[in-house]
Amino acid sequence: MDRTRGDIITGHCFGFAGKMIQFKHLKFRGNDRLGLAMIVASLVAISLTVATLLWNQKQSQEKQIRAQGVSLTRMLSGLPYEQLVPSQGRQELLSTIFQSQHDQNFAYAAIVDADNNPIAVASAPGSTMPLADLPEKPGGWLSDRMLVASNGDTIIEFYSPLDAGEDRLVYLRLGYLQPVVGVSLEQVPFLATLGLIIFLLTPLFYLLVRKEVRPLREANEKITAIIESDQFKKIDLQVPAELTGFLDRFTAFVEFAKQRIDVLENDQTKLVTSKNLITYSKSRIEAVLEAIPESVLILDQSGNISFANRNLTTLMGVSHDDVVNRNPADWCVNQELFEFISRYSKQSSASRLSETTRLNVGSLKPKNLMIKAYPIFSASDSSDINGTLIVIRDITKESTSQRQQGEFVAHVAHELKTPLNTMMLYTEALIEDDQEDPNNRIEAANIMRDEVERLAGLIDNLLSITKIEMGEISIERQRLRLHDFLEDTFEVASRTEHASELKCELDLASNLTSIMADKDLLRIAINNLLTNAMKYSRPGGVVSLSSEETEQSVRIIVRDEGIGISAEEQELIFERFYRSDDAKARKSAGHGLGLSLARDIVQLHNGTLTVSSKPNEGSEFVIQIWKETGLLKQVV
Amino acid sequence: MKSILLVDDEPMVLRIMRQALEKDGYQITTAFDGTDALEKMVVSQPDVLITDIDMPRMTGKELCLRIQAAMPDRCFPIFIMTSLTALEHRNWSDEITNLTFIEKPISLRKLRDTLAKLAASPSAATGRAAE
Repeated sequence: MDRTRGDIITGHCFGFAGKMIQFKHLKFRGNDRLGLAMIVASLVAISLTVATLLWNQKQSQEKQIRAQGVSLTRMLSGLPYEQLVPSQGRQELLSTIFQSQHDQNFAYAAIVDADNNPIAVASAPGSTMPLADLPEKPGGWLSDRMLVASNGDTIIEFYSPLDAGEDRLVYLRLGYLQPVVGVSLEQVPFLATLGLIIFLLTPLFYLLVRKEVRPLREANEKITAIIESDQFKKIDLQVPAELTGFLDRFTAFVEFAKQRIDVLENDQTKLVTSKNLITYSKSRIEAVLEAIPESVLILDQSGNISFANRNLTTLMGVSHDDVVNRNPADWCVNQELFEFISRYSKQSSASRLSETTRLNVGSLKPKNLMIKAYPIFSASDSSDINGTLIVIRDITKESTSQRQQGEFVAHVAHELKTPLNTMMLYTEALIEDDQEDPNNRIEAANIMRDEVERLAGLIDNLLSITKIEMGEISIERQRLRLHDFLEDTFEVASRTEHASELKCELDLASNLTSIMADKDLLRIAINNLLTNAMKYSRPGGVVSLSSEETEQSVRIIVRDEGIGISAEEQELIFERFYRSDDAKARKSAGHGLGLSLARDIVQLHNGTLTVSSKPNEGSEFVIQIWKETGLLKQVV
Repeated sequence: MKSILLVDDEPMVLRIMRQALEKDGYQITTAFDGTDALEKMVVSQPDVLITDIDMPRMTGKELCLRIQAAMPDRCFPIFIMTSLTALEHRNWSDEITNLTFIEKPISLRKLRDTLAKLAASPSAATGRAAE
C-alpha cells in the first residue's frame, strides 16, 4: 500500500494571527485504508456473486422438481390402476418410469393403500420413503407436501388418490429430494474464474480512484502548508475540469471566510478598545466623584440609583449595596430628601431643570444640607434626559462657622467696649471733678492705665488668634534653652501688678534641655497661663512655674492655689470668650481669649495643654512638648 | 429724692457711677449681677433701674424678663447698658415696657441729663431719649 507523506495530519490550528479561529483536527488518513477497503469490498462482491448464483441454481432446481413432480403425478394418476401395480409377466410401470427419469433428485415412487401399506414401490438407492399418514378423505386429486426422511433428507412429496376399483382407495406417492445449495465439482472452474475477474478489477478501480483523488490530495497538502504558514493565499492547482469549479468555489469560500474573519477581528479589536476606553473613562469619572468632598448620587431614567459615592453612604449611614441599583424609597429615611430625589425619579418637566435646595436633617445630630440636582442630557440628543446627578453638600460646618464668626465679632466688640466703657466713665469723672481731689485723680488714672493694658493684651491675643486661624502665622522653630526662657518669662510676669499680692515661685532643673520651638508664641502661651493663674489667685496665694523632663518630652507646669475650676468647666475654659458664671471668677477682668490662644499655640508645637483643678484648692495647667526624639518616635 | 438700682459686675464701673450719681442727689443701691439685683428689689423697689447685660449667674436680659413676669404693672424705667448694638441683640426686649438701651461706652453726662429730665417729667424722658 502506498503511504504518502502527510498521511496523517492531526491537531493543526488554522488561524489568523495565530489565535482567532481554529479549524480543529483536520484528519486525513492515507490510501492504505482505501486499498484495504477495496480488497474487502471485492471479496464481499465475490462471495455475494457466488452465493447468488448457487441460490438461483437451487431455486430453479426446486422449481423444475415441482413442475416435473406435478406433471408426472397427474399423468400417473390418470392411468388405470392395473397398469400401475405389478403383475405377472410384465414389469411394473413405476420401476420403468423411475429408471427413465435419470433425475438425481428423484427419491421414490410408490402406490400405497389407505393404511399406507405399499402396494408397489420404486426408490433410488439409499432413499427411503418416510412414513406419513395420508388423508382419510382425499381433499383433491393432487397435492404436495414436505417430509423429512429417516436419514434426515428433506423430501418434496407429490401424492394423488387412485381408483383401484371395487371402491378401494389407493394412493400414488412420488418423492423428490429437495435440492441443497452446494458447489459441484464441475462448477468450481467457473466460479473461480468469475472470482478472479472480480478480484483483478480491484487494483484497476484503486488506481482509477487514486488518479481522481490526486488533485484533492494535492489541494490538501497545499491547504496544510497554508495552515502551517498561517497566511492565506490562493490555492493554485492543475486539476481535471470537473474539480476546477469545486476548487474555485472552495478558494472563494476561503477568501470569503478570510474577509469575514478580518472584519470580525477588526470589529473585535474596536470593541475591545472602546470597551477599554469606556472602562477607563468610567473609572476616571468615578475616581473624581469619589474624591470630591460632596456626596454624589446618579439616578438613571427609571429613578434607580446607578452610582453613589462613599461620602453619600457615610452621610446617609447606609451601605453601598443598600443604595446602588435600589429605589430611594428603600433607603432614604429623610422624608424631605426623599421627596426631593423622587421629583427626579420620573421623566417630567421639573426634572429638566437644575435645582438647589437646603434641608435640615437629623434630630440627634442635625445637619444642614445643600442639595443640587442637574439633569444629565443624552450626548446625541439634548432633549433626551438620561438621568439626574444629585450633589449633596454638608454645609453644617459652614453654617456653624458663619454663626461662630458672627458671635466672635460680637464678642470682640463687647470685650473691646468693656474697658473703653470704664475709661470713658473715669475720663468724664476726671473732667467734671471740680473738687480736684488728688486721690480721685490718681485712682482714675490707675484704673485707666489698667484698662489700657487690658485692651492692649486683648488686641495682642486677638491678633495672634486671628493669625493662627487664618494660617498666617508661621511657626518659626528655633533652639530654645528652656531654662533661661522660662526664667525670663516668669520674671516678666511676676513683675506685673497681678503678682503684687502673691507669692511667685520658680522651680526649674538647671540642666533642663533645649527644645525646638517658636520663642515668641510660646512666651505668649506661658504668659497667658501665668497671668490667668495670678488673676484667679487669692491674696497671699502661691503661683508657681516648674518643669519636668522625661526621655521624650518636657512638661511645663503652672500651678496656683486660687479659686479653682469645676469639673464641668475644665473643658469649656479653652473655648473662646468663655467666662465662668462663678462670681468669684467674674471679679477678675478676663476677656476669654487667653487660654484658647495658649492651647492653639501649644497645639501648633504638636504639644498638649491640659488642666486639672479642684474648686477652692487651685489649678494646674500642664504644657507637654515632645522633644525631637519623642516627636520622631510619635511620627513613626 | 429718687432711688436708683445700679447693676454691673465690674466694681470699678459701679464705683464711679455711684460717685457721680450720688453727687446729683440720687439714692444709689448697687448689685453685682441679676440675682443680687432681684434680692435687693425684694427689700425696696427703685425709681430707676440701670443694669449691664453681660453678667454672671443672671444676665441683664434675664433680670428684665423676670421683672416683667413678676411685675406686669411696673412703672419705673429700666436702662440697659450694652455694647451689642445690632437689632437682633435687642429684639427680646419688645415685650418689656419702659425699657431703654444705653450704648457703651456710657457717657455719664448724657445719663445724668436723661435722669434729670425723667425727674422733671416722668413721661417725656423715657423712650429713646437716653441714647
